[in-house]
Amino acid sequence: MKENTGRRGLFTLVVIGLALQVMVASVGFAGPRPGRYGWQMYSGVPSVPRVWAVSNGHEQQVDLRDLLVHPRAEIDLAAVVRSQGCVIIDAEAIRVELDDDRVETITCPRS
Amino acid sequence: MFDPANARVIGVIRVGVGIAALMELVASAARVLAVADPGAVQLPILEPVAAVFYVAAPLVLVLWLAAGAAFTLGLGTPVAGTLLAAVMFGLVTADQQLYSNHSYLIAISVALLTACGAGSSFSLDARRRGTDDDSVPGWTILALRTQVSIVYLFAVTAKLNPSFLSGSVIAASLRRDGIAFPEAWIGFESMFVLSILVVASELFLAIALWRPRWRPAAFVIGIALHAGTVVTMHAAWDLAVFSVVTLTLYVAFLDAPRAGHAVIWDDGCGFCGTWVRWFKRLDWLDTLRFVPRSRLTASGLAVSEDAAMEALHVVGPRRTTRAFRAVIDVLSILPLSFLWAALLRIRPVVGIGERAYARVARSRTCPMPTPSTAIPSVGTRG
Repeated sequence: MKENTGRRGLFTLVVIGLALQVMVASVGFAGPRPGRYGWQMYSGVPSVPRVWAVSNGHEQQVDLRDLLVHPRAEIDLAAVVRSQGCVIIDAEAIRVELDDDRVETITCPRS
Repeated sequence: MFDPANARVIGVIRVGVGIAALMELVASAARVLAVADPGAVQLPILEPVAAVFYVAAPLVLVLWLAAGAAFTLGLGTPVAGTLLAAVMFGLVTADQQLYSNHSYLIAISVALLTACGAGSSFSLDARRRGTDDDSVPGWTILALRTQVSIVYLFAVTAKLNPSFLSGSVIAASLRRDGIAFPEAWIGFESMFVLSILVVASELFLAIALWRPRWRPAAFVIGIALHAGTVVTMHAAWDLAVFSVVTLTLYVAFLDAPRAGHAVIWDDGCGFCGTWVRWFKRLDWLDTLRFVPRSRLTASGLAVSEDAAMEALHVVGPRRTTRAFRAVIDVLSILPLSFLWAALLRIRPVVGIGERAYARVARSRTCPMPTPSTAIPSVGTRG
């Protein structure tokens, strides 16, 4: 009896786990492809913004992917630039050209 | 759903998933250490989990190795599985650079297998206990099958977008060095067709694996799809890991009751004995019951001794086959061959196989009395 209760408990846990996985994956469809936890491998071309480091009036193009340990397709590189650009790239300002041709300029604080 | 199922199925899948976890360790170890370097760009997903990985990366890797090896061997499986699942879930929730879909699948599979009692059979735990549990609840097999379909259904749904269907994703992912698609082949038409084929294959797999009639074809398409990605695309090792874990889960779709198939063989023939010994070694699911000709009468099976002397017979739940078709039936149930065994049923191949079997049977050196004119029992094919 105790063993049956234990097994039914495990069964419930497994069902909940599978349902949770499906829910998380379903929510992931609302975001850009490819996303995490949704089995969206190779479902879209990742967005790679063009980035320039601006110093002393000169611009040098930077490939963000070269600065990462492992540039996964799911990583939102534009968000990385916004949050950590000034830490990762040694520059007075960073110019970012997004996929929709919008340009953002991030001014880095003087150290 | 709660009826017993062959525990060996879970055990064999445990070994495959454990091997995939260790393969992933080989790929991820350097990345984990690199991301933990204070000078590296860190992109945490869950801060507390990331903190553990950043601070204790070497310890995490040692734990991964130990838990992975123990889980594969089935040693202290509940503890090893829990630790391994924790490490793998940690890996996919620590840092964005460490996430991968195959690691996520390994994490879920390890958790499912641990919950399903994966150490109860085909394991060191079972050997130490002196038992090899016969059965697990049927829902455990159902859960693993459901996991496979979840992956394929979401994978195909995610690909239903203009970017993928145009072929640009595949074109960007194909290898350009080593074994590669010729550059001249990588055009819109070819990539569009390839993308449709991929979507159709994944949709077919999500459904066909559940249908016994379509299952052999699904096995072949599955191995072709996954092997194709490994051979033609970047990140071959990552794709190989994904292939190992996914194709291992296919074992859950095998119709493999314990001792569910009787293999009748001529124990007066050393040549036949060699084949049977190999079949026994590879019958990790313990689904074959070997009946020598000398004990055929006592077994009550509806195959005559003369027929058994002429050719191998396999008596299954629904049919009896002989000769080359019997060999195919055996290969269709062994974990190392079930994925491709259906290819042997293709008309030209089975014809060649039958002729080759007949030639080998005629020329085998063990003594073989002249067969009588007795007709094999009704229902025998081949």
